[in-house]
Amino acid sequence: MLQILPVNVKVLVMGAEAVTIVETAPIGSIKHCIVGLPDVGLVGLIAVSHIIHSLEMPEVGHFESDILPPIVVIHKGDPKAPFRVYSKEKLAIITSEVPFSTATLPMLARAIVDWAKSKEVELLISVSGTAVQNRLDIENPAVYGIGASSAEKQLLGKADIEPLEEGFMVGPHALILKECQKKNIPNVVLLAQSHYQYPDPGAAASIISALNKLLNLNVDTKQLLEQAEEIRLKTRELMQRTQRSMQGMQKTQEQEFPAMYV
Amino acid sequence: MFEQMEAIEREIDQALEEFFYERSMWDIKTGRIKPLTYVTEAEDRITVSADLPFVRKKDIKLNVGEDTLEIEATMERCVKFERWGTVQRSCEFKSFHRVIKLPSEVVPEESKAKFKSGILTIDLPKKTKGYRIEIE
Repeated sequence: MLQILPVNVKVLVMGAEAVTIVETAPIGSIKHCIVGLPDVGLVGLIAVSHIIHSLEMPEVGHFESDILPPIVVIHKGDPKAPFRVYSKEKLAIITSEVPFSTATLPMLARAIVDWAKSKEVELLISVSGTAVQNRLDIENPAVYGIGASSAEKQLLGKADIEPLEEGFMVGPHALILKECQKKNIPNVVLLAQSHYQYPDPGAAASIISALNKLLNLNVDTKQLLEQAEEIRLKTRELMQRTQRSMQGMQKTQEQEFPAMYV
Repeated sequence: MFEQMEAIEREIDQALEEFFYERSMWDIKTGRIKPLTYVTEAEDRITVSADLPFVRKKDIKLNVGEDTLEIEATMERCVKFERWGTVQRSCEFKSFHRVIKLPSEVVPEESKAKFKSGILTIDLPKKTKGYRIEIE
């Protein structure tokens, strides 16, 4: 039987190891990798947390770096790194329980994309929210997709995901997209209409519905919606910290129209 | 490259400061939680919104002063968390409470509020409105 040895992917900066992805369990090649981080409305984080829980995905690795905040999270008595990797069968999820500072984002984005490349990922999917002022009037938030190339745009079309034609993307997913284009890794970004400053489980449910169509995931969102109020209450403090992180990266620019029309 | 490393160092210092010294959003003794709020200011009005999960409209009390807004809201049931924070093993919360200092003076009597999908929105007209200049 073929034994897969853990491989650490390192991004080097100034001769020092800046970001290392430590695999704590053997991981083979990955078909789909979803990235959900603390961002607008915590949409990506809430969505991937629900998928990890629903599919009972085990933790298989974590990110280590001197540039990450010196925080250890304790879950059920076990100390864990806040920035972790989960995997089951051919699906992997990368998520974090802490927001990132702007200066660390380029290195983290490179580490994520390099790790995806080492795992021969067929499609890297970034999930997040896009703030809309009239969110309170929207019952079922729409999901917009951005494809890194024409092949990914076709995938979005087949899944009936409306393309985002004009706008700005700011933050980790923008850098991941750029890095994927540079390294020829297939990447799509899914953005659900959401609150900017409040945790939005409804928008996260829309993201999961879009992922169900795109990847044939079959994850039910009923429980997520039933627990929406509890999620909003429990993620208040993370949302507040994430807001400050978003201010640092001028996230509100996403609500502006690009000036170029060419 | 050195500038980038210095920027990272500054942000880590700031994150640590916030992590260790920031005031908590909850008070175990009173069972009160500070809601997430958002304040926006336009030429003639201030809009405050607050995220109030587990709250029903009838249980919200608002007290508007000339430059402050107090939000008090009782949850429909006590919310108990078995694990909350690093030290507390379990605790119960029963209400939200927050006093917000407004960026300008407002007219309390003309204020309006609405509550939809657990989000409270309060519209507060400013006392001194912007003066419109006629163009000659």
